[in-house]
Amino acid sequence: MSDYAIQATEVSKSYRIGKLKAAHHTAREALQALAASFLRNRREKSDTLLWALKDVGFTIGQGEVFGIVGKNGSGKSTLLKIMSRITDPTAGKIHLRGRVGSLLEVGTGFHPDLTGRENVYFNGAILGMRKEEINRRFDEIIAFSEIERFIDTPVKYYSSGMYVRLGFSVAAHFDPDIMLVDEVLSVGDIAFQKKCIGRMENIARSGRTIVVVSHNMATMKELCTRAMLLHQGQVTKIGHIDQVMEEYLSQHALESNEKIIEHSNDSVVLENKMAIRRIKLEQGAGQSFRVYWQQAVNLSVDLEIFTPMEDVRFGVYLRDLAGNYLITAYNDHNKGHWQLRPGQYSVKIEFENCLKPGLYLLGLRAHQGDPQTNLLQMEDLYLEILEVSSSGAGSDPKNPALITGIRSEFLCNKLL
Amino acid sequence: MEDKKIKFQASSQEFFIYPLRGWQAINWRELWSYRELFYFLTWKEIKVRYKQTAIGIFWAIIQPFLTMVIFSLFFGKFAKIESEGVPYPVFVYLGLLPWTYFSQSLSRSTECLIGNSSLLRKIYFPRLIIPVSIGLSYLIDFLIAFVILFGVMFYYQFVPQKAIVFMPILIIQTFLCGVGFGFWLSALNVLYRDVRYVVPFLLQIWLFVTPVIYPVSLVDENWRWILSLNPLWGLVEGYRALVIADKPIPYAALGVSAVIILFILITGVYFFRRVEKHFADLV
Repeated sequence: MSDYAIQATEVSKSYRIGKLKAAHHTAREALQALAASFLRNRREKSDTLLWALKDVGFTIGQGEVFGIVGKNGSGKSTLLKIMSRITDPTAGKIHLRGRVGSLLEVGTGFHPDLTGRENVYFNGAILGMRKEEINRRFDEIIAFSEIERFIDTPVKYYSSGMYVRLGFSVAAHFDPDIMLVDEVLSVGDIAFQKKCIGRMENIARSGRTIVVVSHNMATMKELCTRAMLLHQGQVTKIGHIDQVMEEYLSQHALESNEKIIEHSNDSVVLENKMAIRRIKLEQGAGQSFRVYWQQAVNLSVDLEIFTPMEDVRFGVYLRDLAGNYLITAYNDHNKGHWQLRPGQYSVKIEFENCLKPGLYLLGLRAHQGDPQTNLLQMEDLYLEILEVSSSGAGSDPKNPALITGIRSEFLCNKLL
Repeated sequence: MEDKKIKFQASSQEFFIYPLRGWQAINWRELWSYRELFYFLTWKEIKVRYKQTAIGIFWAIIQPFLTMVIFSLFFGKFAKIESEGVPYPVFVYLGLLPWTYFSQSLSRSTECLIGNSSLLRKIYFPRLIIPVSIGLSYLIDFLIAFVILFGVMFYYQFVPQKAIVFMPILIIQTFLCGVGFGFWLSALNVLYRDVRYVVPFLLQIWLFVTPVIYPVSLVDENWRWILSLNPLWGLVEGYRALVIADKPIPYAALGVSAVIILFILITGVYFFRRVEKHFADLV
């Protein structure tokens, strides 16, 4: 590719963990570390290097929308930070052609005491816009954000939604040749998200290069043409977005029909009253998180309960990759809510599956009383519904809107 | 629709990202391309400083004015410190002018990088702009405080000398002094948070080793040369000499001050640039 916008060669970034040289927040710590470094030998030092990125190389063409995919901690954000010159690489080189703008976190650099108008100017300037450029596009920015009425109110009185809108509007009206986007599209309401995606598509169409990091696979698929998969700081695949996503899912999401949760931070556990230990898909298609079209989904979930609870509502849901809820099923459809005592429980869930073939997000949640307060929520499981090759010919299954009244079965047994 | 108007241009801007090692000089071209950010950060500093205050920018007048009144009362009237033949309020105010500017800009600079941590972690721009804009923003307060000087001079029917036209040179020197130390302390504060506890203490001592409250003649001859290594020594003397008629301009002290300020400024820039690349990981 001769007409590239970004070319990275063997980019590496290491952090010294444990005895992080830079982490001395006080002079005393620095002195102690200095003393310690005399006592320690060299080899020990190199052992504590953590490579956040190792020999990452890629080329992004001009006008391309390029995605970076990977699990948390795979080095995506570090790479983006290096590309936006916030931190230095430890080794390697990146060649960027054109003005670079980053949309790293919406509203960064907003000052709460300044009004919306003042913040537009301030934020614009920080992103690298000229004053006359902001003047020229001011009305457009405000119109896009849909908060004309509050533009002269200090942003500390804004709701988080308004904050995000204004922040995105400023950043989206900055016209860099290369735009770096990190997870910003996961915020705001759906309508505004759609608008943002539309805006980015426009930007891409006008010949600018966009690099996107997002967990939202649907967004990635919609926006990107090519992508790169990072795993533990290394490139595992570069290619068409579909291939990269397939690789990502086969590597990380669907590889087994069972997920064992060792750390409580894999699922959102609130108030520390219960935790999910294991989720297994029974009678799936092979040893993976896949079922066939119209095949009922059988889940077996191991729960651990820490405090006695009454009236626990437990449910499962399926969402599409854009995050829209398609199916929800709760235990109150047949047996009523649960009374749980400390110990281990095994929950068997079976529910009808009437979705069309494709990839979905499976989630579990439990709450007590107020449906807004979760006891537990877990939503990072992918479930694929496979097409049955011969049957179902001619019918074009469509996903309905949210279905709640599906036939489902929740069985809860105390083990210990 | 608006996007169709914008034609993609093969921008001449291109750059390489590679590991930076060792000492970095100033990238003047880059600073120039960010010139508007100097203005915006300064503007933001001033805006934010007096937001939600009842009397706003008047604080810039009240602070040095009240200090002058109190110092005049205690040091001028009660302690009867001599004041080089001019009314003590005029004398002390001439010292307070550069001192207030310097101390405010220094204590704010110390915190400026930590205070802007969300910016440093997310967006790239030349970090040097931050301490410079602090210095610039207090320059506004400084100039407003000048109004009081003329008021005080008018009150005491004190006619300034023609030499007052050289004031801008001294103001620039004072600004560079604040920014130079600002580079050092802001960067040091990122590395060691101890700095923020040291600075108020440092400023207290600094006020005493600077002839703000007292005239130089009060200091033992043998001590003067070592105290004049304090860059503010020459500056305060300079401000007074430009206003007080029969006071000779202290060229030597001003020269020493200029050399030291230059030294602090240059080493400050290099030190700042050296640790700059770690800021995002440390703030």
